[in-house]
Amino acid sequence: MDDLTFRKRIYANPHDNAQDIIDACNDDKAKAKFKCEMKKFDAKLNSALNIKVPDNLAERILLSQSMDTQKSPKKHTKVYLALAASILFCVGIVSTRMGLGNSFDTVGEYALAHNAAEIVHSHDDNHYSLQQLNTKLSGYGAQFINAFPKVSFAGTCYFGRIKSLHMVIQGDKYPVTIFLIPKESGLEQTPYFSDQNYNGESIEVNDNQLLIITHKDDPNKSWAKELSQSFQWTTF
Amino acid sequence: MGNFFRPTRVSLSMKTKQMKYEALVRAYSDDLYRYGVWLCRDPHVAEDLVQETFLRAWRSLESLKDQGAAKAWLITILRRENARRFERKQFDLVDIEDTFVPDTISVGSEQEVENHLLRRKITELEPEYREPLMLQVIGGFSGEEISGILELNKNTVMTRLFRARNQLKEALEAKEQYRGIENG
Repeated sequence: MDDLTFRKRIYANPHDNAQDIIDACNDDKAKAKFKCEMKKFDAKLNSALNIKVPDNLAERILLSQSMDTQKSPKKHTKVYLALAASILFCVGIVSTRMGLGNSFDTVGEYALAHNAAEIVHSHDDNHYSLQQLNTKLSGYGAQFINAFPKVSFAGTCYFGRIKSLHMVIQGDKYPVTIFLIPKESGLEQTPYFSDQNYNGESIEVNDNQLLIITHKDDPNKSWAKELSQSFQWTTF
Repeated sequence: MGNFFRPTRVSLSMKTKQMKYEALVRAYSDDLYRYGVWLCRDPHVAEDLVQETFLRAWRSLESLKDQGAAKAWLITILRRENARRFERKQFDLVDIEDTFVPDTISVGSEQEVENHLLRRKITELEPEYREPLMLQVIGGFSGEEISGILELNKNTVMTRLFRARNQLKEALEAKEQYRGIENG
């Protein structure tokens, strides 16, 4: 095999183990060396491409799928099919009117379920600069002013199909979860909501809802007030 | 009526589908995300793309007959979703960095410098060279599989792979040479 063909083949695939490549390497030490170098280069390439994957990516994908499945449960029989079709028809009308289809009635219920599903973020320990946080907040017409709280996680998440911002703030004893979502989420809004462990409060600002979820045992009972004061809102 | 109600069979096939789907998500979501980041050069968009890809995969899981082709099937869905993003035009993004160079899993500092340079060069590669390389290195696909995914002739794929590696290697060697002069 001539040198140029060999090099082209190895550049295209350093792990080419076809018989003619093996023979060429056995016949010519320089070729074997070149192949070895290119394999090393590929290892470097592999390392450079090995981007960090967000934590719990698989879990979040499975969560979206289970929510998607809840929207259109599998029909078991023809009898049930007819029944389910008529129920779905009604659900369809209602959910279309509300702009969202899922099994949650209120924003609060959804927020608590979301919080529980992604509870792992409450132990995250990321550091963000004021500027980084404000870039994320800018899409919602909000920004933190100077005395901003310690945010340990901030990322985009979805309320059904509605893009929202998910943040975790480290309090003295318990983390506090914040969701910032557009007001027109299609779900019913309730000012207060709770489950066994968490209390939630919903504050409406401009075109957004600020949902603040705190642990029931958190001694600080004025989180909602403090946090809503650390935001500055711009009107579009 | 006995034949009419078949709940056991139905719920079993649903369970099988769910198991198959979970296995796919766990096996391929990381690689799909990495591929997505290099495809659209934005980690947030990449995550959305992967979410959308798997939702579509769930809805048409029945069409996947050959388990061995699962990864190529998912990559094809992801590429289609990415193309759709351009058709829609206004994909509501908040924070796009102009020169995005993603973080990799942390390694030693010397390696990190080299990685950073390589990553920058990879983002600078023409997409037609970058994509087959990503499919080969991240996806582990063969030349034939890449030509199937990209709908290109295999020779074209091999030439692009050759050019992509050639450009990257030259860039890295130029840097080493420069460093030599600087130190000498």
